Amino acid sequence: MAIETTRRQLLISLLPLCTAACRRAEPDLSGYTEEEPPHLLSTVSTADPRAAPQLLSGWYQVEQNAWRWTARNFAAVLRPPPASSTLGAILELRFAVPDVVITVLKSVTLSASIGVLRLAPQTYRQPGRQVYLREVPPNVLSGDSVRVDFSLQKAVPPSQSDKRELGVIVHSLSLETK
Amino acid sequence: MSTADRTAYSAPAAGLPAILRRTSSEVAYWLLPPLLCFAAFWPGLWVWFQADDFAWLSLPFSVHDWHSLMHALFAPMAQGSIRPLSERAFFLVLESAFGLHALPFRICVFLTQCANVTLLAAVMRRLTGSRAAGFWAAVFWLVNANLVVVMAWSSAYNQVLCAFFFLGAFWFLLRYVQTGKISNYICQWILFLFGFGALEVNLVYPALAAFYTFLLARRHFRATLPLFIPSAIFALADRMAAPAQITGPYALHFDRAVPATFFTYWHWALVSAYVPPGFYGRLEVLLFAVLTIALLGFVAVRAFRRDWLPVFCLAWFAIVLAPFLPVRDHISDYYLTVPTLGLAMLGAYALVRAWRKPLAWRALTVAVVAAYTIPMVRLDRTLTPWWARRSWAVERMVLGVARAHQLHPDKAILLDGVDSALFWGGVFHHPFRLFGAFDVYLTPGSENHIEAHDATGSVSSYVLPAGVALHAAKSDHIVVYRVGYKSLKAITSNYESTILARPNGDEVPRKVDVGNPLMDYLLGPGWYLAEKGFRWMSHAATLKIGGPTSGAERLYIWGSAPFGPQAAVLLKVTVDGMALPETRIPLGQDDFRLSFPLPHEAVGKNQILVGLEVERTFRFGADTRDLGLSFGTFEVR
Repeated sequence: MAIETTRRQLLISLLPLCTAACRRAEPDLSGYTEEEPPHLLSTVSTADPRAAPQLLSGWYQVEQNAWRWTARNFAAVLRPPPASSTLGAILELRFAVPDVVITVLKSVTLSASIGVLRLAPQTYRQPGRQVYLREVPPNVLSGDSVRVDFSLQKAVPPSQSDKRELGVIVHSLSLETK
Repeated sequence: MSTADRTAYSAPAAGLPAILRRTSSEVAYWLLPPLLCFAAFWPGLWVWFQADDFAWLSLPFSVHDWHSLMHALFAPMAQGSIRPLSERAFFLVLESAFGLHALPFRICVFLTQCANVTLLAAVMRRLTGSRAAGFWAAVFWLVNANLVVVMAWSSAYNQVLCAFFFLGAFWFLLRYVQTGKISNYICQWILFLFGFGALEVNLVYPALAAFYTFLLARRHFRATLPLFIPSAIFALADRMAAPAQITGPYALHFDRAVPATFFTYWHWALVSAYVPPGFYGRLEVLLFAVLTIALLGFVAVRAFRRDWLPVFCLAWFAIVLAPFLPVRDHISDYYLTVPTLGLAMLGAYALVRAWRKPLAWRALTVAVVAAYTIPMVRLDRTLTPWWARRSWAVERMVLGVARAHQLHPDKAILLDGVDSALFWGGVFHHPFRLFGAFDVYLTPGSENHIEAHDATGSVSSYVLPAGVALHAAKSDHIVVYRVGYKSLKAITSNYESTILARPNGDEVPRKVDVGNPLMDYLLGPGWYLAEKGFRWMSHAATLKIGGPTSGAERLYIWGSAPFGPQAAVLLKVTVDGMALPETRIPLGQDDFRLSFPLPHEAVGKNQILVGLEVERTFRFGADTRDLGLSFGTFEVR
């Protein structure tokens, strides 16, 4: 019985062994596509290393490979999406307000600005996942990039346990053509 | 050696010692057919993967343990076929060893085919005692253009391997008949039994062996009868494991179509299946008639003289072809691979017999042989490169998509400029999944440039609807590539600008795949996240879909209820608030398909709102979600 089991295990291991021993290295695929020149992203996942250069200020390290804490003020640069300079766009910030923030601050008020254009603020009183959505008129989206500045009315001040000033936890931000 | 042999196959180098001359002649005799194999189908050695190959190449993904390995090797797949050696093991072992490098697969095919032509020559030499007959049988079979597919497509290896087991078993039968040694009889049995791992048609081998011995070695006829037992068991087991298909291209039809199908195969065997327009001109009918008369006339004359070998050769063709004849809706040239062995033997025997006749007969024979061989070689050299070029185009596209997926792992990939050959040879078979790229679509309108084969599948299900592409472009969720001659060219910016400038581009699709994250914008509340092609709803959910254009159109819903309480759940469906007939869905079944008439008020609307509600939800295992039902696609048509 034991010999039979061992023989089976040996047989089962043949395929992966064969794979490991004989399979050549993954082929270099770099010549199989002709890419466009690199450009900024319209949708930025804050954990995406390619997007890191677009996160200008007020961002902390990536945590759990999924999100970043912000400071009270934070800013990012985005690419205006196709046709947004004629149709306008929607600015979307997907974030979470942690329990600790609501416990300390009671509420969080978020506002954004693009150049001189100030987008209406919104106040959040419940912890959990939130979305900040604002329409952006076409006249501020004519360039190759647009800087968006976010601001919180209050933030959790540095403490003994965490020396950072903590605002909210952001997952992604994007501009999408209307 | 006969005069014919000396003439047809001679010219030893003058001045060499006799033994060396004999040796070199013998070496040339056995080497020439394999060399001809490489010469005729050379581009086939370098082809990449295409079409069904991708289904077999994905087999290793399903192997995790002993049980799944056995399932991958022996479970009925692809029209219920079970071919553990020629398909499952062939792809599993070579892919495990060499990855997606096609050359080892091709070398395996070519080496097996070299063994086949060698065996064919040996068989014919034994049957006739003529070296020339053996040589010409190998040549006639090799050049037949119906072999192009098997020499240029790895998935058709089953035919090559089946021919090997047929020829090998038959060769040992001949040895057994001539020597009486039981070891030859056993070897025949071993090869015959292995043949079941190559192709189902192996089950007719006993009929072939029995017919041969009945005609030409009656003393051994009884020894062939036990061979029918494994065939009967296999036929029974095969039917139990994979019941015969009643509809579709592989359905069996025992009707008046059988003779017509036989005639089609006979025609293809002599003048090839896919002849380019104008290739033969008006001579095709004449050539077919001449070859038919020559072969059948030869059989009749020899039978009249009680020489039954030509009858056996013809019977080889008919017996091996017989299992394919009821499949009237899927007549394929590569099914002729094993049957044409019989015709090649018949032609070679006719040639060497005719060579013993006066000069006029010889001249006529040369003309007939040339009329068959020259066009066939030309076809080989036309069709094999076509297969090779198509496979290389598929390779560039597939590896290009793999690269695009490396660069843009979070985005769906849209392919523009895919033509019929690339679609049916590649895209249709989901090759991109081998690289983890599941979200690959064709650009809207691609279906207008691709030839439809409704019996095989639908092109439109691979095309991203225009409205969905527009939304995906707006939200930066797609990258777009144009299929080019050398590589995939990224055209995302240009494509997005074009699609966004298109008037009425935002139309709501009439087919909504709720498992596709790009269609999220069509879904209302009540849905959970998409899970590889499907999505669970909670107690109630809604979605938008394009409205019907006529009162005859219906709403089709495909979903699944793979687990949950065994009792049926009541599903209420509404369209713009109007209730459709209620349906009970039994839980615990793999999938369900529903169709509903649509209210007249919905006709002509650009979009309608479909509401779904189940009477109760449930939880499963550690999943804390309240689950209603899971759905795949909704379609109005």
